[in-house]
Amino acid sequence: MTTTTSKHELPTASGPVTTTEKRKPEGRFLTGFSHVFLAVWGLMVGVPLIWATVQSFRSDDEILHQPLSLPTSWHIGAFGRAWTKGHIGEYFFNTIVVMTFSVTLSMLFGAMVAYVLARYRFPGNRAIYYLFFTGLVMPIFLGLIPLYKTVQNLAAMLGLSSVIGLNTYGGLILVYIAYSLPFTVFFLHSFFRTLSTDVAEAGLIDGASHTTLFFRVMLPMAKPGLVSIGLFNIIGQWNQFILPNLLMKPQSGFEEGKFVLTQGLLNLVNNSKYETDWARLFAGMTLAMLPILVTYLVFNRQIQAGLTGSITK
Amino acid sequence: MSHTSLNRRTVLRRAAAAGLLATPAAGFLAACASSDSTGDGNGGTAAKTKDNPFGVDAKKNLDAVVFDGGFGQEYAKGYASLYEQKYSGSKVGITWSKEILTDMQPRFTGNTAPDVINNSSPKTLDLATIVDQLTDLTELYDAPSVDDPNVKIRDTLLAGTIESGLFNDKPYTLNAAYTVYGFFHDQTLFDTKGWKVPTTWEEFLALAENAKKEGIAAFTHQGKYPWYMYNVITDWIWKVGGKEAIFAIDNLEPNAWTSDAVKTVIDHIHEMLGKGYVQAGAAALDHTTTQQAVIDRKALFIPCGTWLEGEMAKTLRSDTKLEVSAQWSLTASDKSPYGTVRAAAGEGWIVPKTGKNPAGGLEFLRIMLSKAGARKFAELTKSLPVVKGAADGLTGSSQFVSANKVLAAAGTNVVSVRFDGWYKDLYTALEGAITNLMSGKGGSAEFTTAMQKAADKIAADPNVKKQPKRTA
Amino acid sequence: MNHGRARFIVGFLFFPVLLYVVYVIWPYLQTIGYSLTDWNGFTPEVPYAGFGNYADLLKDETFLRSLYHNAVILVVYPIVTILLALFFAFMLNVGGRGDKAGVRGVAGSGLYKTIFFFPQLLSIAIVAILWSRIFESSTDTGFLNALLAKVGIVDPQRPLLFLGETNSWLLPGIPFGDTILDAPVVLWCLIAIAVWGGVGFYLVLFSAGMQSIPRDIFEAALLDGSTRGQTFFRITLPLLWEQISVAWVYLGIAALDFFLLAYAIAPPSMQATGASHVMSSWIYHTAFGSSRYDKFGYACAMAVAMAAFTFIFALIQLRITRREKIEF
Repeated sequence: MTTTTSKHELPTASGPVTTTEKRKPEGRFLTGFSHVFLAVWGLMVGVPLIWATVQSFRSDDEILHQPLSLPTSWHIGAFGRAWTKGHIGEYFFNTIVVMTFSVTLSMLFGAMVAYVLARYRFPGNRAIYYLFFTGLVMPIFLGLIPLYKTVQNLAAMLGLSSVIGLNTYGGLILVYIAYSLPFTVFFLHSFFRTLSTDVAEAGLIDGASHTTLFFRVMLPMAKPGLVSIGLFNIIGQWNQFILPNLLMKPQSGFEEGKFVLTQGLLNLVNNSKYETDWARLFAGMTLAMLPILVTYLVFNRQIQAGLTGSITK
Repeated sequence: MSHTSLNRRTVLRRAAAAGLLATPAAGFLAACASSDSTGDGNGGTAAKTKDNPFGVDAKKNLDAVVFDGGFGQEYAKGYASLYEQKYSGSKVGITWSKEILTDMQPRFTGNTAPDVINNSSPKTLDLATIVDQLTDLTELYDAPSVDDPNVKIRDTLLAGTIESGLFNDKPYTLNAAYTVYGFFHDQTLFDTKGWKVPTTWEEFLALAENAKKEGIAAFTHQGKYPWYMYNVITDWIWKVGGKEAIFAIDNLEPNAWTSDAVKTVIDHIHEMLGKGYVQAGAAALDHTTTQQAVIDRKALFIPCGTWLEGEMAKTLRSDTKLEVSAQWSLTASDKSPYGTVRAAAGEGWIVPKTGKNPAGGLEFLRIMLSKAGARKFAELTKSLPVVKGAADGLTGSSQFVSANKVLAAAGTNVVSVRFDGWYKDLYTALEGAITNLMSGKGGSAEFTTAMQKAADKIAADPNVKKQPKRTA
Repeated sequence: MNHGRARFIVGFLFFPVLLYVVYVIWPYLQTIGYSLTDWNGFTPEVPYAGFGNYADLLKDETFLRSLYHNAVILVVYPIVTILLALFFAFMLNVGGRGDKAGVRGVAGSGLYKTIFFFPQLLSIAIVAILWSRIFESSTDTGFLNALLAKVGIVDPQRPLLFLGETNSWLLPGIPFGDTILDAPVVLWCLIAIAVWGGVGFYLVLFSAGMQSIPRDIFEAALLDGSTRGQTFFRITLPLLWEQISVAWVYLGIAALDFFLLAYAIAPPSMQATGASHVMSSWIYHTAFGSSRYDKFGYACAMAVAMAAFTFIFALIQLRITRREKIEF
């Protein structure tokens, strides 16, 4: 009852004035208070990143001896060294090729499975759901040795070693999809459950097939959920290094490695153990960070909107 | 219950079957590569001659895996071109690896092992796990050398080289580079201050006190990587208690770690820490930072090996003169004299049996051990190859010269330790005990108790296969 | 219709499930298989060993200590992360001044959200480099130590070791056989890094949830005279329950894994003392760095046990937090 009263009071001239006056001290204090906390956390998150980026413009001598001060002169040579030694351009290309397919297909397959499991009752539904759930809880590195053999042998068995075998785009794409599925399914499952059933029923009565219904009606409705899980998958696959480190390596001295970006970065990190070139390492880091940062900033609004929709609606 | 385990067994059998699937495919490929393969056990097809003692097929490619670390890539590319020159028509493909273990384990289980592997890097293959799949290198050592067909390879190598690669009393690893370990310092700093490298504990204490007055720590160590201090401690144990003290440890003897020698060593290190002679915070610093402290003249000595100069090349001062010296004596009654050092052939190479061209793998190593190959290695890496006389007359660096001097002075007083490779859990326990010691968590009592417990546990553990007792 | 339905279900499930079974389930099944063997991880032959590896688990003190570390993380990491994220989300959405438009977030909340999300975008290699510099045990080059030394809290001769400190903090160590069940400083440092990285994501999640709570509910409560603290506990928290429970499950799974942090950021010296080990990093160490001849089989048994713990935890969490959704 009080709720409705106050709601009605708001538009009147006197209402807001009095209420604002009443809560002013608390509000001002809280605002100041929240700004301090937010700013402190913002610094804790932002400063290390800025610091790391700045290091790429400095000489090794400065990095070692005055790590906390600004560079006296700005060098960009480290970026060139990182580009050549870290093969950033080439590995960036490989990463994009793999992720174009793996992210898209992860989402498609994940949505298909999640939709069927969430909206259709059939024997074995729960079993399949828990099968995917299991994938969420197993430590990834434990399946590594068997996974290597599986990729190798399956491709050989099918005569497709150069397509989906070791050190191929196809092989890594399939593995990425498979390992992204549990989380994608888990996330989208709860999402599809909450979507209204009315539309679906109406569609079916209109004579639409289940497939049409999915692609024409349910998938567009699930867009917010797809956006957020898409972001997860992009970040997850972009930063993945255990899987490519196992599968994307030349299998003999006569093969070219199709490394992805994280492997290039890892190489730079490992190199820094034998020949110190800190600036190069930080520059590589910055270069590797940049594309995903730009993606994030560009799509920031959609991502936030997607997240808003995904869980609650 | 039995039903489940039967199922699991089926799983295993299937796994084994899946593993076998790879073999025909690999065999098929190999057959394609050289259709005239006769399979004489070596994979070689040509006749064995003095010039080609393993019967290498000149048309067969060679698949090599080399550690991409402090030595760079040029030296290995040099071996490859020597091989390709000799066997025109063949190609040597090199895969570079930062972690041999991580990269090679799948290839061993997947039956696609390469023909020759440089088993170095921070993570190496544990011989115990793959020894059945390796070629016994006796054949290599008995083969004629490239430079003189009348001299066997084994006679061209520095003493102790072959022995350093024994496993189960058979040579499976060829260690190709000689590394000298010890305390490194910047001689330029010592010259300007008029200081001398100490040979006894008392001299060290006096020097440390002087250095402290100038704000210099007398000692530092790569705290994040206790391996460096492991060298220091085991070397001192050998020096104070004689080689028997280390043999007892290697052989997991009861009370090996509670011996007087171990106590003495740990007490001295503890004293050094207590007196503030060790760089502040070193216990949690990494190798780059602490090694740089010596170059920056903030610390006098750091334990390391003769790769140090190469590793720090980019940040050396123009007047830095890195030199290595033996660890100073701790007591007047040390069993081994001053000058005792650890010097070991390292940078191991192995030849898997299961590669497509194991004869080529052996030949690659034979070429590597030629005068030309070894010389190139010394010039490019500033490290000492195991081939006698190959580095004579090279005076590249202060480190190189001092290492040679230390080695000559040591004579037969050369430390070697085995348990780190034999019983990895004991080694890990030691790393833990060292970390605790160096970060001020107790002294010799805690150290020796912890280590003895760990050693006893391994001695009693049926899951750990024991090595034959060490007597030399 | 029914026929079409069945074909549709099979058609949609077939390829994704096949892919998943081949590349994920099948390797894991082999892992379970290997856990019953004495395999060393390299040889072609795989000797069958029964359940002996599982019996050994109970005798493995480091494994039990690691399990204890996981338990500490499981309690601390989700709670701290969720509380911080909730707090920031509340500040960003309701912490601003109320005016004609009603309650709203502080100025620049969009910018804050973006910045807070940054750490999510970093690969572990970068995080490792950043934080080892921050925690470095030197008052010259270590970020935190330099700061603390300037304030006079830290003596340059005795810098704090942070990632190199084995002493238990907050919780006293409980002696257990040859080891100690403890919460070493290095572990707290790792948790701090995890929180640092995770808060941004959950902040965005909670913030989204808060935005979908109708404004008038806040308005009404404030006009009723509730303080912001009260609105937080009476309105925000209950209405965000679903997001919080999802966060709890994810964070719990992450707490039981923790592999990348314990493996890539904890220095080798700490891994040797066992102070930084959690189950996953100990499994990894055992599989590749142990002297047991059956190390790979044994490590597989540990991993199966770990997966079982995680599975049980996740099920319990899902049951506890399941509750009626509040419709509005």
